[in-house]
Amino acid sequence: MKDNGRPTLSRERQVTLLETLDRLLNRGVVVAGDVTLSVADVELIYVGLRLLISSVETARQWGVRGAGE
Amino acid sequence: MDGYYLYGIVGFPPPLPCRIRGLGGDPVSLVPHAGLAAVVSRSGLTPWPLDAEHLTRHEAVVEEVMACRPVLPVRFNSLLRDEGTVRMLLGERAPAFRSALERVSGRVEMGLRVLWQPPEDAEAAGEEEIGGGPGTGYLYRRLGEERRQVRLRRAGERLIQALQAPFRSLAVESRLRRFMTERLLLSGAYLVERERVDAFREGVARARAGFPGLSFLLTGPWPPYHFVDGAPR
Repeated sequence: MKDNGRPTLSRERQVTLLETLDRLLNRGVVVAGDVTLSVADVELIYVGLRLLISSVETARQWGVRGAGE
Repeated sequence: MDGYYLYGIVGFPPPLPCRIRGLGGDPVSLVPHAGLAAVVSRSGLTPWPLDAEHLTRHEAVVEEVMACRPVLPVRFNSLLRDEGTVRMLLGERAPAFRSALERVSGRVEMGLRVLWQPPEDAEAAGEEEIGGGPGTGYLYRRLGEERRQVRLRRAGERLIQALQAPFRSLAVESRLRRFMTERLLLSGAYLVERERVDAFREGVARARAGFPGLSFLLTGPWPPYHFVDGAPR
């Protein structure tokens, strides 16, 4: 879904993406050694998690239908 | 393109009916070793940008593999320099990977976040108005705030216990994070038998009906991101 080259995501897609972010960056098998995160990546993770929490906190606005249902 | 990007770890021998291409559009393949196989695509060793496109691509590959076989999802941007390093990883951690694969076999992860409206604090009123200088006042306010947090957590914990009860039988295991923010009472990841996913959803629907003051966000099925280590709990 692209509009003027900028991706637009529905709130549900956004929540799904943020849930994915939370899992892909904080969970899963850790392969030690060759993985390095830049400072910018670490900041993004932080911003992403804040976004996730605020998305969930505004979830009330879209009532009982959660993402993935 | 001398490196490998890792998506997941599976048992061997596997069919890999994965039609989705990996990051950068390269085909997804397997590097087998020690009775296991790493799901990989060829990649440079520079980390991929952390954006919607690349996260979604990684997730899509793992989900497609998960649709046909147990898989341990690997963290984003896991890059290994050559095939030998991939084999070494599989070899060194083979027992843990095998037991983790056994643990997640036939199971998926469900995500549940529960929001509450923290209750008004009735006790707080009685604690105000204590004499003394500004320093004393500050200390009392801090103390008051700490006590409020303790009461809030106690109330929240009771709610979590009541909420959680039905999920103990619906899920094999769970990972819970409490109070990530004041409103986010619970962030739970549940390992659920594939055929019990609908029952789990019904459990959440009952919790919604039973706790009308709370908001629920149910997601999944996910690959078992929270359950990739060998030892249960």
